[in-house]
Amino acid sequence: MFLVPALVLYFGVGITEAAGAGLLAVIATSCTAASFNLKLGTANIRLGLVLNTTTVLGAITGGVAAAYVPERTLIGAFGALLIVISWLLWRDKNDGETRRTSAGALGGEYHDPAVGRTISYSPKRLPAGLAAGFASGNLSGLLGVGGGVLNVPVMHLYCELPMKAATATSNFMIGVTAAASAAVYFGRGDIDPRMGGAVVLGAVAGSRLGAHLGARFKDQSLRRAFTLLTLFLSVQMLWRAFHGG
Amino acid sequence: MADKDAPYRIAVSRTLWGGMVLAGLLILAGLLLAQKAAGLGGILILIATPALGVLVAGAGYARSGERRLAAVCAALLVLIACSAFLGTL
Repeated sequence: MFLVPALVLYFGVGITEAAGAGLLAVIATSCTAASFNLKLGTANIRLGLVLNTTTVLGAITGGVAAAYVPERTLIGAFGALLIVISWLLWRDKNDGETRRTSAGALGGEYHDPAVGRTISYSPKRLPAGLAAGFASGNLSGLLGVGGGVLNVPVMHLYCELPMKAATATSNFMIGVTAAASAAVYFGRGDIDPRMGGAVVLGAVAGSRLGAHLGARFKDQSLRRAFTLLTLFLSVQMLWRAFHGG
Repeated sequence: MADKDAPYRIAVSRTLWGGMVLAGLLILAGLLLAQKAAGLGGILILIATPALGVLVAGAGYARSGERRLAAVCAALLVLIACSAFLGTL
């Protein structure tokens, strides 16, 4: 989510090429972090696979549409999306602690070292998750993001997953979503092997470190950091969309 | 539920990490040796790795009789294949 704006804003890369590199970085971070989170049990593989049906559909349509949408429109849409996400996360009063409940068919359970106990949850409002999945997949295809920027808040706020389960499951999902979009970009020649390769290697190092560090923080701390970063980038993207350059 | 999924989670975890390592080595070789073919090969393996994870999960669920989840995995693989085809148009 932060790579594409950084490439556009600070390195002068076109939005389509940045989106292509962004998708590769998403796949790399997803594979790296998900391999860790799947072992821990924080990533809900069942829920992720089910929600992926709509995210991949959205990614395909977004990837095809990206070739026809003007660049400043894409940048502005990205900035507006980030503003909305920041606001949703900021107003969320859920402290991240979940009452123990039976897991259900798509539920999950994991040990949280930050609070020292096992967390059990059962996802609610699956239709909302599926709808958000399509939208996040669409964004993935259009903007070269993983879709986690929408998946995580919806899974946490509406499907009532603990923040760690939401981020870990989203991490698993975004790799599949991004792969579907990346296949479209690659076929069109919108992926630069050198730039893509460099961001992949950087993303792998960063995501492995992030997966280890994330296990040590409480849900609320992660949410606050996510919110502030999202807001910072949204302002910059909107400025770029309206003022160009 | 977490225990029931443990074999699939571990298998998919290993698939994702193995694909990532292979792709990373090829990409690194491509950058260091200025070999475009290696870099492109690494990128293709990277793009295919999540699909391989879905394949591994689907095979596991099919073997254990969880037909709905196996069908979900099969549907995902068909969709990913469609996206790859669309990219060539």
